[in-house]
Amino acid sequence: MVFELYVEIGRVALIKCGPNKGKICAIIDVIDQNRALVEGPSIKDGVIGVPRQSMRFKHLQLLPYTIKICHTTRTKKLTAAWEKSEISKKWMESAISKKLIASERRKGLNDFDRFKLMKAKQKRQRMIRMCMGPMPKK
Amino acid sequence: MGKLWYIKNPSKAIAKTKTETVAKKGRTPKHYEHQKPNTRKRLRARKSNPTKIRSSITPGVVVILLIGRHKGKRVVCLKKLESGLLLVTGPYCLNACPLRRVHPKFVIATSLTLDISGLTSTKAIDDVYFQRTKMDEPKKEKQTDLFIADKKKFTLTDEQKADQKTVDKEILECLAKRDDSSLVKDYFKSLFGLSKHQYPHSLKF
Repeated sequence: MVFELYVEIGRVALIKCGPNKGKICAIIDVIDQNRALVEGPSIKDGVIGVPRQSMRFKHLQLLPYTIKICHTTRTKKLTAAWEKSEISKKWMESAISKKLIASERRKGLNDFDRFKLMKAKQKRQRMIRMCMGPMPKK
Repeated sequence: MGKLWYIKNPSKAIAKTKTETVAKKGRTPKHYEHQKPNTRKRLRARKSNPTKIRSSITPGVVVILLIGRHKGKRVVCLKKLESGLLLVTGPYCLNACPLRRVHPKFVIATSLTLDISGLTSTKAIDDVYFQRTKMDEPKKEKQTDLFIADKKKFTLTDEQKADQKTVDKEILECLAKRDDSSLVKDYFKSLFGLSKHQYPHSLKF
């Protein structure tokens, strides 16, 4: 198993637990073996920010995006680098982000919603099978 | 706290205690003249506390039954009866659950509410409606019981069957006003069940 994503200054990560769960941030500095200094800039119509704080690596999920910053850059420069690389846009378009939104939605379904979902899935399967039926078997 | 005593005529009670200051033979009296008898405690009448049902259950809420022969069925809660039980019905034409009383504890309230404000047929139904008349069974010898097969069973009266039909009809009328009425009808016909990775504490109803 070869690691593909590395902890580095400017690595973008997803926060897995705590009050900022689900938000993305950039690693600005490494404090010690377990902790990093992170900050997620808040952009006007985009993602909500994460205030500058130390965060355990175990609470972070590294993402395949990096921004070009020096260690411990100020928020202004961080935001500028973030917007230049269009991280927020890339994140919103990514599969992981969409899956997270979908799973949140699924948790919030009520009993009638779940019933409607089941019926919709059945209908879709029926349509797929109707198309598959007349296809010649290879 | 001592027992709360209920007294029908408080004035008579006060009169009684006043006369009790006379001592019985050889005994010290209960109260002396200068002491006021403790009538305050006695005068507190019992309060009637009507049963409270949780706020998620109101008339028109679709509810999942958890116990009984109709367990798993989604039914309509029509009203709360005086005994504290809920009056529910399938409707009978959709899932064979009749007009029935159900304990609110053994029920899950869903977020789906039907607008049954126009229902009039359920106003006359109360706890007395459900009381079964005792069937007169003549005392027979045990041996004869085994061979004679005509034991009286409970059957619905024609009136009760007619009531069910009118209630069903009214509920279907309320349903028809909705955009998703055909889906809701299918919803009533289906049963609730937990599948893999579904845990009641994390499900929203």
